[in-house]
Amino acid sequence: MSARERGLNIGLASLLLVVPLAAAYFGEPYYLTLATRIAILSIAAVGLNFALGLGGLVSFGHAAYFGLGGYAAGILANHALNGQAILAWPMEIGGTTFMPAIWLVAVLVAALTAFLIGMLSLRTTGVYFIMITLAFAQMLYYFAVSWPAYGGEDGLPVYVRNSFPGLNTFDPVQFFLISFAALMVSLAIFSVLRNSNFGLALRASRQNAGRLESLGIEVFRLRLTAFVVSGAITGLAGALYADLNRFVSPQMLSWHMSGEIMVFVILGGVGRLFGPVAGAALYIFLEQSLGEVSDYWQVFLGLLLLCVVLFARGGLIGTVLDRRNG
Amino acid sequence: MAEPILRIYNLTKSFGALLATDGVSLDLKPGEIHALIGPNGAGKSTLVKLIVGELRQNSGSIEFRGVRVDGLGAAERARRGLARSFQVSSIFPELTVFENVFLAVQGTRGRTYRFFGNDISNAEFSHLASTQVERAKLGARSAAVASELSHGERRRLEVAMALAMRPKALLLDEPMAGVGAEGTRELTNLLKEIRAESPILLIEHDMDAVFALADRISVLVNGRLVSTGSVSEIRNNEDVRKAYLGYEDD
Ligand SMILES: Nc1ncnc2c1ncn2[C@@H]1O[C@H](COP(=O)(O)OP(=O)(O)OP(=O)(O)O)[C@@H](O)[C@H]1O
Ligand SMILES: [Mg+2]
Repeated sequence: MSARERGLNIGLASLLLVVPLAAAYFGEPYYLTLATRIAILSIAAVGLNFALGLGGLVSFGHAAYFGLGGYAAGILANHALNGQAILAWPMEIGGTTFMPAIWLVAVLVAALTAFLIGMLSLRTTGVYFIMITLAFAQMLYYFAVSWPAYGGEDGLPVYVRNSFPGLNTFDPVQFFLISFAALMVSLAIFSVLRNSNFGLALRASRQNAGRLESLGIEVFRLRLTAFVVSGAITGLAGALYADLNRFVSPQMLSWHMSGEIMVFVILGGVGRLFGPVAGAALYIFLEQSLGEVSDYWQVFLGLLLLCVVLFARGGLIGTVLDRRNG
Repeated sequence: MAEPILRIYNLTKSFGALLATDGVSLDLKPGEIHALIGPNGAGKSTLVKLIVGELRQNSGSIEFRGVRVDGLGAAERARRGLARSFQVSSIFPELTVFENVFLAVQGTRGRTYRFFGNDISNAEFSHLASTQVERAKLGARSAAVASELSHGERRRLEVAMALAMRPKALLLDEPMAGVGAEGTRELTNLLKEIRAESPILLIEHDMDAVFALADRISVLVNGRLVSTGSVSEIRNNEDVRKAYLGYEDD
């Protein structure tokens, strides 16, 4: 990563931290909620960016991991509140409102699901891979819609915000700081993995997969590992999102959500460390500003996306860096 | 004579009705350069792909260092020491020259699942990679992105990647294709040096290079091995002249 890109990243992180805090200080707490949403959605996109940006795995089903993370949080919290065990046999497992425990479960559930979906879908490539990942996510979506125990189509409210030791999570500033910290940790993980032996092989697999086998590296296993890590990060985002809204619904599992996560990555810059952050921030900004003017703001979003794909492949981050180079 | 490192027996591969490999048996002994020649479409590249596991044979066996490997995957065979270069350069275009070669070290040493930190800072591994970069005369280009390399440099990068695997057998598929007279001379010298480290199965159309390097030559025509012998035997073989060398003289 160039010094220039590092500078830009630090700038973006500072903006995301300072602007909402300042706004809250001056009595505009609404921006705090927006910034929290940006931070959480960025985490979801960091997960996809790992598979898509580094490994070239165009998953159109990342809502599956996002939604499962959300349901993990919602279900655990609901059971903790109503006192019923989630599982009575072979051992009794109850709910919890303890955030770190919820995150762990969300990450594990998402990782396990990514493993199973990856086992089947990574045998295909190209359009087939896109379609299969989409199909699996849609299966989970319809399952959530039709399963009444946890709200079905109506979704599942979470009546408290889950707790974090030493913090008051109901305070918007503190919850924002938790989300922001989680984003920084996911970005650090992304960065460390990208620069590791594993990351080198993963980047190479996107460029020329067949050649990797001839160097002694099994591409399937490599991709499956990346897919699991990717799903796990997106699962964490889902758990936080459930806490932010205090509500989980099948919407989190829908293909719209998968599309949104992918849009964040593409808008911001595929494979760039801060691409997901720039993409999610721009998306939310457009949603807020254009959404006020017209209900059809997504038409503009579509046009913008088209421009990025046609003329600015590097997304927001790539374009800014190129401009400053020239 | 020493035991062969690589022994292929009665190997067959068909693509639909086309028999691309038709009962081929050959071996590769320690320290030798065994050239495989034959007209376009004879099945030379197909044979390489069968040996390294990119294609699966219909029948026959492949023994490498005394063990059957014909049921193993390509990556496993590579880790056991089967290295190959590609007829059409196959590199990682967005990685640097050094990273391309380093991946070969990392892959064959089974170090890919290191998630935190990398082995580029490992003196032994990075030394092995940079040695091969130097050897392939790419030292000045080590930090260049591979997509910026000239055709000749890509051919040499191919060879450097194969060497960085510390192969026990090296299969080179037309390494000199399109590199010009100077490039051919350089590569010929490099291969002479390498033969002491690893035997080479060399596919090459440049007959001067083949005659200068090979200990033995096998001739493949329409998927069948028509003859195997020393350089002088092949040079004077009537069938070979008709089937192949005659065509080269045109
Ligand atoms: N994947 C494939 N599917 C179908 N036919 C194939 C395939 N690969 C090779 N062939 C055919 O098999 C035959 C042998 O091809 P191969 O590439 O092994 O020849 P070659 O000796 O390497 O030729 P050249 O000197 O041109 O590189 C050719 O007729 C080719 O068209
Ligand atoms: Mg060939």
